[in-house]
Amino acid sequence: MENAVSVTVNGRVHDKTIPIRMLLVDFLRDELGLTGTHVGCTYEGRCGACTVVVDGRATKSCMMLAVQANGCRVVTVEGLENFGGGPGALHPIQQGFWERHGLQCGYCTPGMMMTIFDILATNVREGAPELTAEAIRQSLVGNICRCTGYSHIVEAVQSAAAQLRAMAPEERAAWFDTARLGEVRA
Amino acid sequence: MVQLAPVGTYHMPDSLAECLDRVADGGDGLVVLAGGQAILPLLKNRSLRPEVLVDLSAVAELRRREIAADGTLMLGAMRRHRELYEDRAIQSGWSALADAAAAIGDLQVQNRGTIGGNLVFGTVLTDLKQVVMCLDGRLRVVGRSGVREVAARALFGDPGHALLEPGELLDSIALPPLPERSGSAYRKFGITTNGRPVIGIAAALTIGADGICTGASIVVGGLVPAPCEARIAAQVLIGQAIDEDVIVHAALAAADEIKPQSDARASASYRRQLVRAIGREVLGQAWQRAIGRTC
Repeated sequence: MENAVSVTVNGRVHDKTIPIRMLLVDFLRDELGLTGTHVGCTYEGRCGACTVVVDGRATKSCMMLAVQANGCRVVTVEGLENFGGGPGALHPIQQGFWERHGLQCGYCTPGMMMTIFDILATNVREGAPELTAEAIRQSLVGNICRCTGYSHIVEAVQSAAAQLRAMAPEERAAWFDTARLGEVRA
Repeated sequence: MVQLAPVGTYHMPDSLAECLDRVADGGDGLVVLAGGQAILPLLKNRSLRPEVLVDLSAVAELRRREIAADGTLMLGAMRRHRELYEDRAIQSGWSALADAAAAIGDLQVQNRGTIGGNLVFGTVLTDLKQVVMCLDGRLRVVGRSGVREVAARALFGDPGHALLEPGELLDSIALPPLPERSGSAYRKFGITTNGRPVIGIAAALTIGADGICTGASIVVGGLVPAPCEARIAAQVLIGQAIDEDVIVHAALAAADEIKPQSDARASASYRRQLVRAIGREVLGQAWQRAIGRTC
């Protein structure tokens, strides 16, 4: 009925014993108190608000059991500022949202940002070529913004991509290197 | 908060042999998790109340990806959709598979969902069955008693035919190389973007140096009870110098020869209209790829 898991979330290793039936999103929110990851569609897997990055890949945390994340490295929206070395240091994704006003009510924003983390990590691995609005929209199909603020979100991604393009390749890659968050026991 | 029914045991074996032991011993209360993107909703609404969950994601053997000396592509059942469409060899050699994988759900689903889950999951209304049929794929099924191979066309084309017997798992699929000057493509229409196919068509064409079509394979999915090979449409193309008009005729023939159902998502006549429209697009794309124009 319960399993022991060890999950690294935003660089902190959490050893917990949890029910097998617990969803990853509930583990993050209720067990770890990381309520930045939202539930937007009553766990139907449709809205993308609960998206987190699991081993480098954007994943809806309501579509995965927490026991499946055993041994995985998870990044949530709270982890983004850690890439910059400390509180208040905005990740280029956050900076992009700030500059382009990429949110209205903000409910979908954490999920948007974590999907964008995957999109931009892939873009950086490919040498940071120009990202078209069409490609960004295609990649964000799984994230719904009920304020319908998509235009500004797409512009925010383009702004983040432009910031990254202006950096040296190593600096660029560092913003997506989840190993840099460390593995400190919680 | 959504509560799944309590689950007794969760296994994440790291070898295929252990998986087969678990599956053979599991009985009725066992559910196998591949990517989980179709199973999780059923767990959440308690349509499934498994006693035992067996998660295949740690089995290296199921994640193989090889191209054999004869050019056959072998893909383990746990290859994820995104790994298919980001694979350059698949993009160029088996384009229909890359097209289909990129059109299954959203990025998050593509990151978790697997080729095996899509093929094995108990509905015909998925994308990869018609693609693997079109590309003349073979499925390798393993059980404790051994290995068997089955042709996708025979299997998925026959609704009475179950892919897996109790205790068996899909190990991998094998796709033969297409002949020289061939191209393939997949297009679909879903109610939502990248939703389950109301109609999804896979096509592969081979075009001789003189522009004459020497081979055509068209499979229409989204149909109940099974995907349908559009053989008459293929015959419209074979032996002809391909151009837009011939392609339109083939798409019309495909719409005539299928027997679409009416359901809550679309009427039979709308499905035929979709086959005309999507058929034209997908055949055009396969043709362009066959003659070396990228699109």
